[in-house]
Amino acid sequence: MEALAKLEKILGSAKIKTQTEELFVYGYDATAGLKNQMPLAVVFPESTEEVVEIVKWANEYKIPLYPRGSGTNLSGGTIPAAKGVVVELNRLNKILEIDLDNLTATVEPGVIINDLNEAVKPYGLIYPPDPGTVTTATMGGSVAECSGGLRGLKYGVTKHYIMGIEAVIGTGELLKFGGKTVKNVTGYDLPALMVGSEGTLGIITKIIVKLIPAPVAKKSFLAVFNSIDDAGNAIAEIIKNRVIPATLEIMDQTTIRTVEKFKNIGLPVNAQAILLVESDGYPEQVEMEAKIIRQVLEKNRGEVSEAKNDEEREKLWEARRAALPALAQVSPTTVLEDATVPRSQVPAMLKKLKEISEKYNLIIGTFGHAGDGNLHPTILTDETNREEWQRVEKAVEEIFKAALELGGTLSGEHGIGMAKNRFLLWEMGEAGVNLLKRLKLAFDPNNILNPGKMA
Amino acid sequence: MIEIQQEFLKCMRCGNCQAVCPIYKETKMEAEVARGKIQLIKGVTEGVLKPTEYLAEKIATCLTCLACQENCPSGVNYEKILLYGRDYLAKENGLPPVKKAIFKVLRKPRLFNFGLKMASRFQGLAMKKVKGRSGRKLRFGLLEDHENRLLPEFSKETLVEKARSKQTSGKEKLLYFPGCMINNVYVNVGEAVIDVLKHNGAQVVVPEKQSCCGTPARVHGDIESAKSLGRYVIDTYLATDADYVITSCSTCGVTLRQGYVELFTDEPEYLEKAKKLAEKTRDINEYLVEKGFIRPKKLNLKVTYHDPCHLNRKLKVNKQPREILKAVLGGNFREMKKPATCCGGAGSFSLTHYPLSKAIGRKKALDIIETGAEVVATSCPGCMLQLNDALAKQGSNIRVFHVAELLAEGYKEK
Repeated sequence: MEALAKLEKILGSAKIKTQTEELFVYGYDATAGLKNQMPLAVVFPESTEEVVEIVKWANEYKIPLYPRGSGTNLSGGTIPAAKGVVVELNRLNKILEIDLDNLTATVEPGVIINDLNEAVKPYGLIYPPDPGTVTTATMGGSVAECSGGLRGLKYGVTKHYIMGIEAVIGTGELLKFGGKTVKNVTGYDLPALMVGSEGTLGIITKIIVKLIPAPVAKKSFLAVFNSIDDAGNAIAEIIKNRVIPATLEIMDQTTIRTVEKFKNIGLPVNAQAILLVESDGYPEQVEMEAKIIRQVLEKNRGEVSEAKNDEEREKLWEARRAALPALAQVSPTTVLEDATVPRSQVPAMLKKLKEISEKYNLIIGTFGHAGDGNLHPTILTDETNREEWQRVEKAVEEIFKAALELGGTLSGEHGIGMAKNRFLLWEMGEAGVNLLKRLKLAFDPNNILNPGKMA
Repeated sequence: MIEIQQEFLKCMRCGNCQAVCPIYKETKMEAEVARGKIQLIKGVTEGVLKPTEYLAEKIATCLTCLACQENCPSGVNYEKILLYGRDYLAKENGLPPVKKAIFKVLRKPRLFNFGLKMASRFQGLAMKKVKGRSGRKLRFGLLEDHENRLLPEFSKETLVEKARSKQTSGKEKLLYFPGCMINNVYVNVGEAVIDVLKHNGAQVVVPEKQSCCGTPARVHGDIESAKSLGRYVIDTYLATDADYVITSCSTCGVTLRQGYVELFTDEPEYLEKAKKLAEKTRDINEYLVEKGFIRPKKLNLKVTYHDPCHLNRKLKVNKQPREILKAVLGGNFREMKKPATCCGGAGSFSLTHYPLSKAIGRKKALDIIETGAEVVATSCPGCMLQLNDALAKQGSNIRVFHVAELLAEGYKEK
């Protein structure tokens, strides 16, 4: 193919792969139940200039590009939907600067999130967004998908830490949005527009992030509830009492039982729900918050245990960390959703999920970030069982309808990608979707970048 | 087949294997991390992909260090899938002629031992000694990077030959399985193992009939050769009434303890024998700690420990060597940052994929140097070889010893 030969000439043969065996493994990401799609080629740019060249090339031949980091996303965001070229950015992986005066870091998109955290740790700093894949996922992917994580409630998510972005937009132009200043109102908030754009507006080549001081003290609680309502009220009441924990996680009975079956850590299998609450900050503040947290949990009939040291805290967290792995081991296919509701509606959503699970006769384990309303109903199924898979698809539909009815959203942290395209109209309406399309064309007039996603 | 399909389905494709794969850290290629290989093997067995040489090469690019398996949230048995894939491809494609020839010789223990003996006689023609390090360098370019590459030095006398004059008596009867590397190259490790066991009051016998344990053949998909060697080892080592079989090579240990049981699932007679052998087999570190070893005099030496992948991840032997080292060194034992990361040796991987193996070894060497240790101890001759080469490349004087050698040294101290 003439176009590919030209691309090889631009990049050199070491940075392009076209063998079937190499292409095959870029046809998927971490999303369950989507069809594999092999690209025409995979390219591995090693500089911003090369990214510019690739986008210009794509415009010349009208061949779509699919930017990709570690391929850990759960929305089909990096699957090459139409025959095109995957742009693998993991070789652009330098931490360019840690600026201690401005508390920022400048990184290339291929830097692993955890590697950034390791690099700033010696300075007593953290980069708070911590998706479950923090040891694998790249900064670029995390920005493009606007990942969340366990600390969202107090610290916010990726979008709250992005100050500046350098990206090659769909025309091949290299642009800089934002910068190191805390305040910036020049023009539209373009860095914000790039965050969560799922690779449809530009290929990110540099990111300036905000760093914050690491909390010095922590206190963690585990509370066991015999009713979902009690657990839900406890969540709402902690926050009503002006306490914002760093994390406030929930596990439902299905999840508790599954974790216990695989891990044997002594979880109460008859409980309806478990809450895990952690406060962090300065010792005095943590002390004060911990007191209120305990009172609220007990008042709502929670059976509370507190971690007395790091070792005990680790033990408490073991249960939460084991949730997805344990659920994943029950069945061949694990459909992990991220339906999100205002936190006051968490009990209502949990009830709805239980109804859906019964209606479609499916096992749904629910855990997640209760404090920010971001739940992970996880359907345990087998995608090769066609009849069951149809029920799964219906259940998923109903889960998102329910979330929207409760004033929530289709996605708290996974994005729309290919997986939730069909629901987009429900949340945004026709005018909303049309605006997305016009915005897309302003950045990418030839529809080169990640077509078929979020559209 | 159904069993392996279940295993394929378990993979959520979450990509967590990327975080711990030493090869992926170097190449960043999806086809070279567990998630990718699982999809490739699935693809070829389902007929979606062709069993090309290129595909076989991708499946070969693995250290089998099993870090991915340890880190897998869904509990995928990656090793099972990988070995299935290699076996499948070897049957479809046939093995490369060189490997075929090597395994053919391996299958005949007497011929193999004769070959190694000859190697020890004539190695001087091709390899020169290296001052101050154990190992030799090639005089001319048979292998990539030959001027800089430290290769094993074959011993003039094998361990079996040396052990003949070392007949011991004691209350517990132990059969020692040295494996190819210790019998022919690191004979001093074998002698240290015997000394240590003797010091602890055991009778040690090294059977004359030695052979390769078969793992190199098995991991390359030559199951028949592996089985043939397995039967030979099993028969040799069950022929006596020994209380235990002792291994001091990580890979041989895993083979005797687990590998043969997996290998002979379809041969009831040998499966039974394999189980018996497995029950009797102990890694030297494991045996000493289980029995309560005699405390040595302390050595004044700063030492760090490298965990051999198979010993650590498959036999879960990682506390025992540290307990022994702390007994020999007291406060002079120091951990490196990531002691359980693969050194990149991985048996023949270091021969077939030298540039990659070297890059992984370099990281290990830097970790070791950072500890300020004078010695790195480990429990696998394969790792010793790689560590020696990797450290030499960094111009380091840090010496490499087997744990048993340091303990033997501790027993000699007055």
